[in-house]
Amino acid sequence: MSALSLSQTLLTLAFLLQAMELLLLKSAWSDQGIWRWSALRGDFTHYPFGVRWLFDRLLGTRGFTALLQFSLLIWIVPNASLQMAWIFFVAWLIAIRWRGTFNGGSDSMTVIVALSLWVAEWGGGTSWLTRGALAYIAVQLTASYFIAGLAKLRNPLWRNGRLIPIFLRTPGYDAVPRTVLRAMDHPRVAQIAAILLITFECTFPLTWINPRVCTVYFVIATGFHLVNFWVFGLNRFVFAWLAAYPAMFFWSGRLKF
Amino acid sequence: MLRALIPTWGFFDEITHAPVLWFRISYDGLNFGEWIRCLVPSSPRRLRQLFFNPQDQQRFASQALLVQFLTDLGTHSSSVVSQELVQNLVRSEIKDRTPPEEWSAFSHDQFRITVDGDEAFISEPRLRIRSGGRP
Repeated sequence: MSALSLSQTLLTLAFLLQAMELLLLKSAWSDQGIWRWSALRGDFTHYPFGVRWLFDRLLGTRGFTALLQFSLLIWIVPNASLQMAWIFFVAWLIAIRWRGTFNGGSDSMTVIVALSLWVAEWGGGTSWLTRGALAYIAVQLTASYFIAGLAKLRNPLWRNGRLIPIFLRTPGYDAVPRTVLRAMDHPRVAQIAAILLITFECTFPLTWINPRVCTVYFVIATGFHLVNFWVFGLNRFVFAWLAAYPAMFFWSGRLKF
Repeated sequence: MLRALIPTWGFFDEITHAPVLWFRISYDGLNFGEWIRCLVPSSPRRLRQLFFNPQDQQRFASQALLVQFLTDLGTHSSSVVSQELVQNLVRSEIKDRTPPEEWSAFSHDQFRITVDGDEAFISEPRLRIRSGGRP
């Protein structure tokens, strides 16, 4: 299986799970819910009539339900280009409906990977366009770790581990297992965890060197996202980032430094 | 509309002063009960939540809504929409957190948002409009 088709399969799986989660949350965005369209459409009053008309059809309860339900059938669509275009289109509409993103970084990665894989399909799977699209995913994946790591490295409170117990008690993310809280309340343990995390994130660009290094980093990265799920509940990141890995693996070792 | 396409990739890089939402209800519009915290953490995670985790997703989106609301208050942009969404969130929390007999009987609600324990916003008491338009 090529990097392109593996990435497409993983993204389709990630998107199916996202669509199902949103359908399970329908009471929160339907006509009586928190994010009801009658309230959200106030954000678009200055848009041209045609756009507002279209959004009313697509993002109202009936239209949005139909979009998500149809998305559950996306895996049977035989055309990969059409699949990726659909995922990009619906993921983007979800981001618009939730005024930026529904789930932050995972929505962004889904949109970026879907758009790139759609463009990659235009190249027929072999051309410079395909390689360029996969390179864009690899660059974004690298940036997602490297930029986050660099920001932590600059912050002395991150370097000495003092921020970890504070983050673990951030309202909204504070359903952290007690064992983790107890462990991270020890300054030495928190500092070691912080140094390991910063080292992993800042050295992620080494994945470009060769596929063996890349494989090691993927194993660590997958473990990192699973821990993030266990600690913070960030399950969507696991699958959105997994979908980007094949593109990184494709480019690993191809550039001569 | 471009926020999803141009991410900043900054995860937990600075101390985030996360807002906390509270509500209280009254049965006569004069005497209010205790403030009750909204968006309380869920129970320990299960393996199936790796695949389906709607409760946490809703909590994250609600938390992002509070941040957006406070940002809008500072800039006056879209604050009407944000406030309506926060009010919807408060009503949803009241419904989930109060026994049915209290849910059917309260006449007013009020919410406030605190950041690091300090009050960042407090709403006016709001009369509950029941279906049919009667208070």
